[in-house]
Amino acid sequence: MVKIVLWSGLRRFTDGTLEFETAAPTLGRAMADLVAQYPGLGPIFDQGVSVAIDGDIVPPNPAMALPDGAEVHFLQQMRGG
Amino acid sequence: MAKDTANELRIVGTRPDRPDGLDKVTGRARYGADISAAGLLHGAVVRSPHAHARIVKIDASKALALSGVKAVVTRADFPTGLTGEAWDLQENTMAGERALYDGHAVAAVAATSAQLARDAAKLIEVEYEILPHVTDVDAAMAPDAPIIREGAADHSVPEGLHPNVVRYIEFGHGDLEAGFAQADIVREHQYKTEAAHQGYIEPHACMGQMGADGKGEMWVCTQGHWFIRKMCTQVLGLDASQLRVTPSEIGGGFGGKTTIFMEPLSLALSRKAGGRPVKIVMSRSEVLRATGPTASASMDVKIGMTKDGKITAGSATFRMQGGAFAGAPVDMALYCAFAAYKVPALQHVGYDVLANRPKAAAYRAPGSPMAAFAVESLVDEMCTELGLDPLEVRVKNAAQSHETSSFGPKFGVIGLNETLAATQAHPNLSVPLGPNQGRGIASGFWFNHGGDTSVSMALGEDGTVTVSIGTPDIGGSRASMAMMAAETLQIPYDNVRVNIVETGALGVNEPTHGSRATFATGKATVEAAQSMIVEMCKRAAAKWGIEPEAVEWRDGAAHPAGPNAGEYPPMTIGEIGAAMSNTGGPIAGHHESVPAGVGESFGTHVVDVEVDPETGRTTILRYLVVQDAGRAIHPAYVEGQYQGGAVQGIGWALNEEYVYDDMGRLQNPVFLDYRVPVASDLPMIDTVIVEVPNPGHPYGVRGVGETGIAPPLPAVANAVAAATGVRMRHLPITPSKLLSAIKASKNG
Repeated sequence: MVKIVLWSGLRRFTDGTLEFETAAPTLGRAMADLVAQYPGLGPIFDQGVSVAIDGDIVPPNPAMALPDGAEVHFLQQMRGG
Repeated sequence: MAKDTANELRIVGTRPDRPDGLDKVTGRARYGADISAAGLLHGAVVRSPHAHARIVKIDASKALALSGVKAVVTRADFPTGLTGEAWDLQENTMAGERALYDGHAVAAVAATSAQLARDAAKLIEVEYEILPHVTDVDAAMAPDAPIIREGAADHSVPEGLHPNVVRYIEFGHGDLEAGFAQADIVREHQYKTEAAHQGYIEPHACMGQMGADGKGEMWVCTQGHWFIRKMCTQVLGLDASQLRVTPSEIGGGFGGKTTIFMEPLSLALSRKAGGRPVKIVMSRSEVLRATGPTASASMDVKIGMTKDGKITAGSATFRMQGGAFAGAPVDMALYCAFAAYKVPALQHVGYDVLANRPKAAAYRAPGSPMAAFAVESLVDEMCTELGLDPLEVRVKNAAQSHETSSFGPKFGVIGLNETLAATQAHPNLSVPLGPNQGRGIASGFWFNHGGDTSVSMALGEDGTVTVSIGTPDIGGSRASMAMMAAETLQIPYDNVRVNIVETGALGVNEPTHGSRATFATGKATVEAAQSMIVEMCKRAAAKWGIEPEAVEWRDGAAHPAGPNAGEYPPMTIGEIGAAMSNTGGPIAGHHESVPAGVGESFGTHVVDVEVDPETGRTTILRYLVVQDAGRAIHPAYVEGQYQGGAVQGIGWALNEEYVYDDMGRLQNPVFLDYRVPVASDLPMIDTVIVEVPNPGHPYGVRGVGETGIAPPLPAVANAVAAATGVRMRHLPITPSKLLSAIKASKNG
């Protein structure tokens, strides 16, 4: 299983829940599952997010495999630099 | 994985001559304004003198009647129907229905000389209807503030906020109320910083050429020519592959040259002028009025602390304006705010707010300096109140490797402990201070970045190597890439030449931004070298009639991997290059990726100041930068980055700000009035390079360009407070403001 953690500003779209367990094999599948459960997340994800998998901030590649036991944090999209 | 020990390295960590040095000291280096071409036209831009105004009419007939004027463009010459960030870029390039800030482009003209173009621009008549404006971030959120763009807010913004709030950020962890309840003291203050410009020496300059067939060329001073290509073609409705962009040398960028301003205008003018090339060079005044400074910020910070200095909880509410478009770095500021601390409960809230100012661009660790000013000032205030050593408090609360960060995910391997320890051990901390002198300490953080990266490497017939990269060399990356290539190939540094190539020569590269070039382009360079080594070993194996796996690469040559492989004399890289036409053809290495394994960087600064109680002038007596580089490829360049970041931060702390009058017009658009520090203002900046290797880079690189600008803002303010007993919570700390505050404290 993979632990998904959303930023707290999304609480209003997820009935207050911010942490989820998923068996989704890829990042794209995990995001699609979340949107299916909480449609309000759709526009947020479409707009762009940043993702940290076990602390490594990476582009949100939908095909990215989620290793068992991983912790995936969604962050509001990082910009600039 | 990073190599375990620096002892294995022959070139990385040394200080060879910079490959661009001779060109730059002899004037041979070609910057943006140095470009020329047959049939060249010169462009000039007509800019709004109003902070907010409806454009009623534009009449260019008098300009077009001048002999030598070849084209005028307005927004009517741009495609319609763009949305999102592409629309923002187009609107900022050329105003549509309304001018949104003082300096906003409303028309542009091309003529046969620069003087003629400027004269023609003055003849273009623009009729405006002046609208209410707002330039202050707090005023822009007030209920009665003029609405700058209705409907500009994105999905993150909750209902009920002013339409000028276009993005809302909220994140945190832990039980905030319980955290504050555990503290012995809880303090809360508001802090403000003003917009500051990157202040690069070289103004924006470009030359664009665009034919009626939609094929174009651009030569431009930029941090990222693929970004220029993408943005220009979006704004002009062209295919990306039809525009070839070549970067010039660059005289500084600091984030401000990662986007477009007048570049599409040169292409639009060229297309209208029959395909003749059009050069546009901004004046300093145009740079300050119309390119992106960073945001101004208004920040509330609350911290709970125990008597022994343990931070129990913190909250940060930041408001930033980034001009008339979304994009103030309030998100990044919040991510950085408490990054140096391990705090059980934190809350972060941010508002990205529109105002009638130029569109903000990235500036060195965007957002982090403002955040550091607010949080590190309050930490220092609380240490003073509790009689605690501010450095000890930072050690006690320091973020740790593999533990949860303030912004959510766990850190990888970080070097904050080592940075604080090196600071504690530095002799600057034991220098006695005299009257009116004070010492300030502060830490700072930046993520660093990976990003799209593509590198190509080719072997020459004589065994020398050419490396093609796509990240413009701002801070010495050509030297660093040559060193990493030479280290990997185990050949002399001088046998490698690194070229920054145009957009047609490589896959997409993100700009030199986010402190990514030495990390990402360096990692790709090492990978490309390794792929070339594989091919060179294959060529040797074929000649020797053994398996490629039985060949190893060392000392710049292929060797049999052991006695079982057979006995053959080494085949040097020069011999392999000389023979390659007959052994399978050209030998090259490539690497394309978005590299993972980015390593975060922390720094701690210590500054001693003296404040003249008669004038309020602050003099920097000594300044120390201690920062984790992961590993310094070329230490002299790393030291330069540390010193440059410190100097820019000192300027932001003491002098630099955008000053607007009550009509919203910028009052200090020249360096005489916009005061950046000069050499005579500063002592030599002392540096300590801490090296906690990043396991995500083959040589341990983290990236060093940005962290160094965050600590100076609070460090200087903390030192001024120590020297005067007066806490300045609104930067810059100009002599007049400080003198007033000192007098007020004496009277109070």
